Amino acid sequence: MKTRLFALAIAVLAALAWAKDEPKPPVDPDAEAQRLLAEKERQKGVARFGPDPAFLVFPRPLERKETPKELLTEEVQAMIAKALAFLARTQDADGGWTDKQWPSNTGVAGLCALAFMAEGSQPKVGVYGSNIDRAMEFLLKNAQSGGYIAGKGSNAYGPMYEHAFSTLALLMAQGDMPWRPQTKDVLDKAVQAILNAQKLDGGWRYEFGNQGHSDMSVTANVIWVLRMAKKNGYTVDSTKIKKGVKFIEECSYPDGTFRYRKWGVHAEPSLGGIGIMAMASDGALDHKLIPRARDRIAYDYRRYTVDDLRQRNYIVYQCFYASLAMYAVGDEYWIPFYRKAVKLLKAIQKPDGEFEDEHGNNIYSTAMAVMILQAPLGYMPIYER
Amino acid sequence: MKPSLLTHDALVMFLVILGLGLVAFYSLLSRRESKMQRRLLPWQVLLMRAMRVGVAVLVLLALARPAISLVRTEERVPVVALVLDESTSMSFPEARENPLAQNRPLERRQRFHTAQEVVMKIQDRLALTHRVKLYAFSDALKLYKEIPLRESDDAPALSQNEIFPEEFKPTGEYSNVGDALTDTLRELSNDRISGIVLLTDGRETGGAKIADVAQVLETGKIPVHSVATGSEFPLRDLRIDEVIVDAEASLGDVASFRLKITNQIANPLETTLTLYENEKKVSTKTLRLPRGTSFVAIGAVMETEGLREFRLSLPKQPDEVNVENNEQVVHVEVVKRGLRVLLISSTPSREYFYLVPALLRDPILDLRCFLQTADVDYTQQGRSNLERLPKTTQDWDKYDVVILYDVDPNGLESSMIAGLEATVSNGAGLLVFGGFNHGTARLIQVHAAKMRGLLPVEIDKNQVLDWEKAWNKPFKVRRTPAGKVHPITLASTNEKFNEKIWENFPEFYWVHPVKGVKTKAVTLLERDGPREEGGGEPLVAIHRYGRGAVLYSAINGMWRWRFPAESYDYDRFWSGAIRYLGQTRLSGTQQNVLLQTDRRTYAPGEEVQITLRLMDPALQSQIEGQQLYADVMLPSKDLQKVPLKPEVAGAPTYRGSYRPREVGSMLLHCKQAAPNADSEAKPLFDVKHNFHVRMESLEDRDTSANLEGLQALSEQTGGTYWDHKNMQDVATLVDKIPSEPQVLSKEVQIEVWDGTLFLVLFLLLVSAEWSLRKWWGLL
Repeated sequence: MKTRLFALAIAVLAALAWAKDEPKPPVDPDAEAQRLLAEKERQKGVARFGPDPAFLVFPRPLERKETPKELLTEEVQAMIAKALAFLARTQDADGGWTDKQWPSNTGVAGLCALAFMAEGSQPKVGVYGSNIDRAMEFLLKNAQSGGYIAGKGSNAYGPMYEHAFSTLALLMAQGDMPWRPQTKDVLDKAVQAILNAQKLDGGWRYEFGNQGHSDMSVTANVIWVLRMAKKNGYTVDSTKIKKGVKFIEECSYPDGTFRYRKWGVHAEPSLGGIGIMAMASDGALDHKLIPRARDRIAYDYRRYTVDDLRQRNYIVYQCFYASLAMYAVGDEYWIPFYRKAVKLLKAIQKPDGEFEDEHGNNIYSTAMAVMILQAPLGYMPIYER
Repeated sequence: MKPSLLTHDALVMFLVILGLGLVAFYSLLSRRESKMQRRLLPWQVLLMRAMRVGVAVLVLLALARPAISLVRTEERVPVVALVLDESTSMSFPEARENPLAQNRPLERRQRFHTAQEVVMKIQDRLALTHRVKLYAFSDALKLYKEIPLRESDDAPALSQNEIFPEEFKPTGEYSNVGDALTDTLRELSNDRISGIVLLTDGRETGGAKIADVAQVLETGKIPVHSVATGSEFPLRDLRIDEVIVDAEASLGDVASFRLKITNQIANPLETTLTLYENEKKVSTKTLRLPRGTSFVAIGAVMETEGLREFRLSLPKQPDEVNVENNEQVVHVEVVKRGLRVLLISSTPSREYFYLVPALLRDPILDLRCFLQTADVDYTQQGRSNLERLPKTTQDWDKYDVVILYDVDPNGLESSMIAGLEATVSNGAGLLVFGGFNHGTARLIQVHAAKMRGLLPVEIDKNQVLDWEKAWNKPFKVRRTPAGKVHPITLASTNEKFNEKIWENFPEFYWVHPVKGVKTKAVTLLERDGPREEGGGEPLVAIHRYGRGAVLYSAINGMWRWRFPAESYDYDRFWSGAIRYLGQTRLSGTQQNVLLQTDRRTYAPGEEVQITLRLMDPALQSQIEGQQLYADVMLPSKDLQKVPLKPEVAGAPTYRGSYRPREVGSMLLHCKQAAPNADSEAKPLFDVKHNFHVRMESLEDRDTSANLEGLQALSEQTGGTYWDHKNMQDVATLVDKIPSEPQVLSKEVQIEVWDGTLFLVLFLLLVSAEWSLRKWWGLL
């Protein structure tokens, strides 16, 4: 025992000595200016240029760090490769995907296309360029005359979720897909359909129509998509977004948690991330609820074990929104979150690369999981800094 | 004693003649006296003759100057020379590790005090067995003191004050160590030198080289015992050698102060650099400096217009010799200037998503965007909303840099392109992306007249984009030789860091086809790989267009550079490129010329090497064949022209040299107009650079001790070597110096004739002979 302890002590000392003597990487003399400007920008916070709060500019990094490289370990890369391969081989002939509950669902197809875009592919360009292109064809084929993009496998409650994800995927591909000139028209109508579907309480719900009560999850998703539409050159009435954000605020508790419905009581842990994204969509990253929601997510992923988190409903779905939010609030929160998320997703991933939810759906969840894993690449504008 | 008769060859003849004369005289005398001599008895005659012969012999002996030569030998006490350096460098602090210095009070820790202590430690014992001569030297050697021989241990030794009075201080301006040793040999040429004890820091400022004198000493078998004061490191000093900062800075931008710092304190030294303005702390930076020279940067965001004074300060270190050089004051003129940038893009592509925030983050770029596919009532992005595109040249002239990102050529009227061409020609920058949606070929098809001339590349206007195929094979990109040094593709001025950043440059899948580059354009990035697979295809190229510049990128996926450093490298690249393209508007010249000197400070008479480097080969081709000059403005405001010549024919580097004759701040100025340009035209470049000329003490130039040189001297001559590592045993040096006496041989000559006895004998014989002749009646 003594010998082992002694050997351990020697090993620790040697490791310390090695760490001390390890040559440091060269220091960039030009980095000083970047650091100073970054510090100044951080003092000011997220900057808004022009009259529209959609166009946020996040402060630049304080220093040049290759943290993304460190986060994308070989193990993570293998997880990503398997998941993307799974999505590629499960794509239907018509360009869509068939999830257990949502066959040929446009929302699922939109998410899959976004997952491939997060890898760096674009329509017809890159490893998964053809997959994206076929997915876009699928989405455009499912564009309905009323403006919404939804097919036969839509949610029984209404197609707003799939419409939002489809619109988002088309928005992300629009600028790199000149051979589909109809995209602009489809998106024009899609955005208009969302705006027309705003309910009187300020939010959105599954169905298109402004009657009834909204829910926080759909509303937050829609606001987020509207913001991306604004960045793509679509005119979106800012008062509509403000009303939507107000609805989100009404669904919040002061501790940064959110209720699914305005009159509800139970706070859903899955809604923290999308709550932050919704508030950021109105250019309010300094909103008083954001630090609380952020800390709540950070606490959850610090406090609970992987097994605890796996027990939650739609854990990949909530992890996806949490990842968008934590990425935006900075490395201090993002890095520990990402590491825990990797552990969580590793526990969920099956040998063939898929991530299955508690209802047996394995496409949308795989798409969301692989977007979370690929976030360090920084190739997806929905992950914003 | 060794007697010997002295004879002189020259006298032989003279003596023979004299002898013959005497014989003749006495023969004549004998003949005259022969009758009278008949009365004398034979013994009387014989006596007379004997006496006369005796006189003659004595005379001959006197004339021959006979002498006896004797060789005398005697034993003398040997000499030891203590050769003490009294140059000002000896007043520098002693090495902190020196055990002798550690035991002395702080005010007595100079190298000179160490030398004195060593002298005191060895002189009392040496004086028992040697004649001790203490010499002092700086530019010349002088006998400072002879330490009297002590008869016994009981005899009192000289005290410290008797040898080194308080007023004896090191004041010499030179350290001619080699000369001092040579002079010591000359001074003691008649003495047996048991050894020379050399007390110095060994840092020579002139005279004979120690290594050369060591050979002489080795031949003469004279051991030199070196007592080295000081340490192998320069004096404990932390100093700011120079601060490089642009004379002008933009309001809201960072003014970067680049410092050359010399650390002669410790390895490494942890310290803090502070930037003050009006005694108010603006910025601090923790430094970890290796021993020697380092380059560090500190900056401040310029938030107030006007001339501002900054003080850069490093804290005083314990035992630091000079704290005045821990600070420097510089002035920066802060002006409100920025670059107005217009980005026109057909669609919101991925590059557009990342390029907009990258340019918005730059505080001196006033970005306005125009998305051609946006809704009619859309609020365009940027610092302010742009409702319509500029039409006239006056409209375009409001922008310093224009970016055409895969624009829809039908959305731009011909008059717009004409206005754009005029504004670029007038000094604005243009960045054109060959994109996926419309492509450059269509742009040329629609606006051939102006666009073809504007672009630095040749595009086949008939090669329209093929949207049927998929691009799933990645290719790598490499920098061309010009790209490796061009400001746009220089990610960092630190070579290692630059390479590290470019190692992470991503792979791409799609590139806009480029037929070739124009003659005077410069390719910065090209496709990697063998030529048959498209290797060498130009991807990013730049050329000068009138007074402006045009950059073309056939890559539309630069956003892939966001990995692995997120937006850091990507933002800096585009920010740098836009600043470069707008430089003409900012300062009236392109930032593609570097005017430098090999150092920033010089002593009068030293050669200042001037280098003018043209970063843009396109510019080089414009001035080819012209004679370039750099004007040196002296402190007296006089101008001197220095011709600059190409390093080799056609090279982008021009060199010249200048020897300053006066001290002060000098300003180098190099300006060149385009060939055949009218006098009103702006120059192609107009660059300035300053350097300083100041008096430098030779003693201050290198404050480290020459331990290696002194050790080599001792080893070569058979002496011992002492420095701060073994100085505690320096008293044993006495045991290494032999004390055998000096044996002196002296030859003495005693002249036999030159004495009383000889004189008396001569007088006796002469007077006796005369008296006898008188007595015997011969007279």
